[in-house]
Amino acid sequence: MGRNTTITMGTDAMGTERLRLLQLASPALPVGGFSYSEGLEVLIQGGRLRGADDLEAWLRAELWRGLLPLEAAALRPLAEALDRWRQQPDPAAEDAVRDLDDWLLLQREAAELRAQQRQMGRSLLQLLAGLGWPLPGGGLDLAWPAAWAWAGLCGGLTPLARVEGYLSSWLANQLSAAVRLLPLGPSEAQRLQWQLAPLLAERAEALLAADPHDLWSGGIGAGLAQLGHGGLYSRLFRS
Amino acid sequence: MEGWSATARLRFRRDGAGATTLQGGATAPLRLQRSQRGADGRCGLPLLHTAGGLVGGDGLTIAAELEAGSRALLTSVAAQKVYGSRGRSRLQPQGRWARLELDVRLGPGADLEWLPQETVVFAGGLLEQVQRLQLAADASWLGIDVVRLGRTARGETLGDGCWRNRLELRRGGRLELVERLQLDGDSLDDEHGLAGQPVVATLVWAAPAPLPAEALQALLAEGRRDAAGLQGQGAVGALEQGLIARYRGPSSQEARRWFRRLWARTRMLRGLAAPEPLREWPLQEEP
Repeated sequence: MGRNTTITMGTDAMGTERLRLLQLASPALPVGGFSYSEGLEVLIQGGRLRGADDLEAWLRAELWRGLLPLEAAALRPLAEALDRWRQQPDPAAEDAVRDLDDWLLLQREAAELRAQQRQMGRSLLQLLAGLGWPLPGGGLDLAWPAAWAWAGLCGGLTPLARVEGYLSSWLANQLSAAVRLLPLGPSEAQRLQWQLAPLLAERAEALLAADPHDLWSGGIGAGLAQLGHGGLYSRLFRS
Repeated sequence: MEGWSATARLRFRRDGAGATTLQGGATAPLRLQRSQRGADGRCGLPLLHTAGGLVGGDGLTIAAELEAGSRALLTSVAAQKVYGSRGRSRLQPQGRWARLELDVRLGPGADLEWLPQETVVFAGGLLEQVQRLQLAADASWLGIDVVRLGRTARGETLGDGCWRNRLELRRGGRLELVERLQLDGDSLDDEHGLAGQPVVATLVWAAPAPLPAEALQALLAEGRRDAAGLQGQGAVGALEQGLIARYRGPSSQEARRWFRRLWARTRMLRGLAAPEPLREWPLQEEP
């Protein structure tokens, strides 16, 4: 076994891993992410976010001190718990997954956000089951972060790639919603996404090492906006 | 210097006549005032904190256990002050945390309303609130939390202080609501956080049974209608089984007026007596 063999095998696996990441983080992933604004619709209708600068400040705030970082930091322990469950399909292993899943979902005070996370989780789990990766027990009832962790595990993504993909897919969805709500052109949205890449990478690395139970959210305004969605007179999005 | 830590241990029990009675006590500087018999056999108990406020390192714990079918209403007699801690001591310039803990266990059919006065965190204050709530399947919890960050009447803000709230509500052992909020630094000022407002307030009602869809929609619509007239911003939403209302704005009175109306509606929805005015709450309006 020469050094070359190892490198070749590693390169193959890494290539596949990278391609799976691109597939999972693509807006074409059929999980319905495009139908949710996560409060942006309320903020924009209410005149609280008026343009690209406000939007960028909002996205940066969520990345630094929203609930998103708690979810991203939970991906590693979720994947570990899912892996144990896969290897040992007993109630204790399942409970560990469900406790963390509940703990994340129930921090979303708006019913619309909980519904979103449940729907997206179910759709992704359904897709994975179809690809030959059903959850142990065959259930579909995990929310989006846990389903994403399962996808990352099944797709052989590195722990860091799972976190990067999670953040990047969130950002792409937010920008796609903003393009439909704000006077914001697609190239402007691309510019924002390009510009935020270093921050995403920095946050992903920090959150991979963080314990989600040590993190806090400062998103009172985010919660208010998400709670407000149910009271909108006319709406484009489901959250 | 070590801070003090005071505890109130309260046990409520329903007697043969359907009235709730209290057993319990408190360590200084917490004191229990005389309990009052309310409508529906509910036991009303005002808590008095005689030290005036918390400094870094101080802790205050309220542990309440409600046995099957008992009903209680807990209030506090005065606002809870939390003094500045950062930069106050040469030995610990980073400051020390003050803690307010609430430990609640509600038995089958038990019903607790927690309606304390506001908490005021002075500039440089560090406060961690912990709420651990364990409910039997058909118990009811209604709690409010009204917090002012900085003595705004003096033009003060929270400065380099920090406020945290950690809440875990379980029903029959299963999580039903989790909160890990922290307001400090940039989150005090930006739209994503407090948007420069000094008051953040929350009402949580964990209902004893799932609400029929129509009743829930009506409750949310009324809550929204009231919120539309608020000075400040308020929003309501459905919890897994119950309701949450959140306020950010300039006025703790506004938040409490709004919460009082929501509280009265939860009583009405459950076929219970309308709330009587709370003697401990200043400047009340009738709902």
